[in-house]
Amino acid sequence: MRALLYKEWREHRWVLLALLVLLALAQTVALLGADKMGSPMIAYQQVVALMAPLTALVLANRLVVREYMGRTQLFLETLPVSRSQVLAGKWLLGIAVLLLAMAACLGATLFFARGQVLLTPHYVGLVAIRSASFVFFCHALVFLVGLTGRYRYIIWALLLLCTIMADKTGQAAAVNWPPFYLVQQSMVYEKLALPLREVLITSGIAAALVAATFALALSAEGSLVVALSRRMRPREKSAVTIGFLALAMAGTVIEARKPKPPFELARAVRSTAGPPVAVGMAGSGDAAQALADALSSDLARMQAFLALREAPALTALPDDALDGDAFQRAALPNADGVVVRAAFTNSAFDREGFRAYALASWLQWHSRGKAAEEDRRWLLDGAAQWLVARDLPQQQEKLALRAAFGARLLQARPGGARRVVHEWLGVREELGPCLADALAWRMVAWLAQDMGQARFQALARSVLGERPPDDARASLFAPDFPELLAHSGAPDQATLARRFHDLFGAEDTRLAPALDRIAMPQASFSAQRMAGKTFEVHYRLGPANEEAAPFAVLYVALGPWDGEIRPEALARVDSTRAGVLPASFARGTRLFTAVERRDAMLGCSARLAAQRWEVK
Amino acid sequence: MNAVELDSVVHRYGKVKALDGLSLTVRQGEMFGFLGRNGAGKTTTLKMLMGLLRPDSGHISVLGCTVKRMPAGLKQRIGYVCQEPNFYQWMTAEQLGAFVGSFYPTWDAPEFQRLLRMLDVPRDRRASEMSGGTRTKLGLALALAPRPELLLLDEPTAGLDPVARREFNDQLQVLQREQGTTVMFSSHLVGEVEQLAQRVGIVQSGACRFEGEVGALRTRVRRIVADAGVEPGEGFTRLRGDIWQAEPALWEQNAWPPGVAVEPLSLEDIFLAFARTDSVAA
Repeated sequence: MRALLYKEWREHRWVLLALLVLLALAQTVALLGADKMGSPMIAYQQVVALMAPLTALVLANRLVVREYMGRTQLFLETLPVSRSQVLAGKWLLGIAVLLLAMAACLGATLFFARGQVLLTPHYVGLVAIRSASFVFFCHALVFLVGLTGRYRYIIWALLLLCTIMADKTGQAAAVNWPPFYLVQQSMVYEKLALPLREVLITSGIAAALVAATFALALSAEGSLVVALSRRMRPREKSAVTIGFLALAMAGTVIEARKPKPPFELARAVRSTAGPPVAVGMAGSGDAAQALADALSSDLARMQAFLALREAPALTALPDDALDGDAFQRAALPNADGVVVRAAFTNSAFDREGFRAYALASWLQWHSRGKAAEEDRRWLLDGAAQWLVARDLPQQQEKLALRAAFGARLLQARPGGARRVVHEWLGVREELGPCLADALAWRMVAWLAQDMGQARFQALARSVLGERPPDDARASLFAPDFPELLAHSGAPDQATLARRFHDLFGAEDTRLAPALDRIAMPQASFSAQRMAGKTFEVHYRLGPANEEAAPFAVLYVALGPWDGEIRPEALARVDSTRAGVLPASFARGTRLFTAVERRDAMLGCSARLAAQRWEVK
Repeated sequence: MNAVELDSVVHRYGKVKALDGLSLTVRQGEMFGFLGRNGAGKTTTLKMLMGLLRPDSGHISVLGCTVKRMPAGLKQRIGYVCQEPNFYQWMTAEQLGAFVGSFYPTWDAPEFQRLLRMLDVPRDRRASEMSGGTRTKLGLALALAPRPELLLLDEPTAGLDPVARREFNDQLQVLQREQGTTVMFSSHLVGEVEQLAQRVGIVQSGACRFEGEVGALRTRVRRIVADAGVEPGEGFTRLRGDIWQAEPALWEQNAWPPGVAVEPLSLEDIFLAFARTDSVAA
């Protein structure tokens, strides 16, 4: 046995050392960031949760997969040592390395945490038992899967797939399953009781995996594992690839075909003149009925204009917590239809704006989100406004003023108004929904006039009216926006950007007297370092120490991959003077901040100084 | 005492019967050639003798011990060289010697060094950098250094060129003479078996068709040349075409009619006759 262990050390020592260095680095980085995480023990919890499976995977790959795939175990078997001895030696070596590494990490964490966290022997024991059980489970699992040789990738993929499916459809989230629960943050904060049930289940699963490992390795004189460790034949590879692709396709198709019950609202007035609309009762029933009828009529007109084949039910919910010109769309994981929210009873309720918002949300459902992609989103926003305002000259005037003001704000920013065609989501984020929707209306109204009714309708039908399949085909075969523009005889994107720029200039000149009367105070944000390593963010609108008209400050901390910011994700502070955001931020945090100020002439809120920036 | 005894051994790989009632005896101290076509069951038999496979039925005895589960103590008395040794590629010959030697109480380190020199195996070269022939010689050195009582060689010269094969066989003969080890080696090269083996076993479709000395085999199997068809009578078994098998005495005593000649055969002809017939030797 000693010779075997020595051989393993000689064979894998460099990989082992590299692994331990990586582990030490991870532990160091986690400990250095411990301040931000709240407790040094979180550093250990994160290292165990992330690095234990990774280390176990690398170890099993070296100790098992390499031995069997390299067929050197056939040489070992000719020596006077039994298969079970060889296997036990490898298994014990793997678990010993893992446990020692984790013990070293725990030791380093405890050393770092002394004086900051109350470290009782009982608490340390709990942490050690939880992490040892998890490590035992990880090692047992990867060792067994490692013995399946050429099928190990398939097994990992299936395990991952099953976990994701169970996580999505099951009652308990995967993070709360016994093995994973042990290394959740509760490991740090639970200082009194051991989650005995989870520890026993995890250890039981691990013991079963160990038994399965030995059964597999010793069955049929080891020939089963030898057969599994042969390399895949081309035919086998093709079958596996085709199988996985078919499984993925079938999964998306089945998921897409799964019918969801329609969203039902008990206390509501309904309109069935066009596509079904329900409006939740708030205020007078007549007003709700009128809104329901107007919405249903809008949907029917849009359905006819775009020749839509499917028309989902639309539900409008009252939400008094919102501003009059703020609208939100609800996510419906278990029901079908479109649900939008607004403050119907608010005196500043923008009825036409809400109708356009509901229409745009309804079209997003129909196009399965395709119409909301950045390159064509302006067409969606503008078409909804255009349809609602088509017979309302007053609304058109209002929108024209908002659009001109939005274009003026945009001109003052880097990139100017030419960004509307290619960077619409950024423009929308900077201007806010009210001005952006008006700008989109201006663009679409001009395009409809320029192209003529028939050609514009053809373009709108191809971009907004198609309902793509809800599976891989949607992204494989759908034509892109420039193709659709060309096909319907519309100007290309570069020409559109140029024409829109000219249009905004002309509108600015036409509406200059009114625009000049709209106040546009300077807003600014700055980060100031507090005691320690955190920062507070100061905001200001207009001159310092001076009270301004009421305004709202919007902010949200961004993740590394955050795209469009959902309105409900924005935190809000109402203010009339300079102030500090009610949250502190670590250095390097990416923030989105903006000031939103309601203007009487515009009839809605305009965003000022909207930007994404990094706290430093 | 016989070094190896197999009695009615059967082994299946799934539905395929690799050994179908194989019976065989290898005497102590002899060099036994195990002849058979590819897939005849030679490797399966040798793996069973090493304890790498277990028989489905039948009885196996190695060095006087009945083999059910091969204990490490018995394995230490056997040397084994397979067709393509799967050594750790990163180990040198020296390191492999140290590694393998730690499993054998009888390991003779000076003898291993001597064998390396004698077989012309570079001590400091990694296995990955060795030719197939050198690896086979290294396998032989590793198998002989613990001074085994039984040496099992599974087509050791299969991957060697004619010169290397001749060298290997010459050295094997020398070593066997020096150490008095019982050697059982499998091959499908008749000339090699003829050169090395004192006794041979011919295996076909998992069963032993002949077992005995090479000379005896020649006297048992002959060709009957005649203008017309001849039926030699009782005690004669046709192997294939005009090749017959019978006890040596019968060949001498039989009254052959005029125009009939009895010709001796080369071992290769005899092997081919066995390999292509379905009749079982008496």
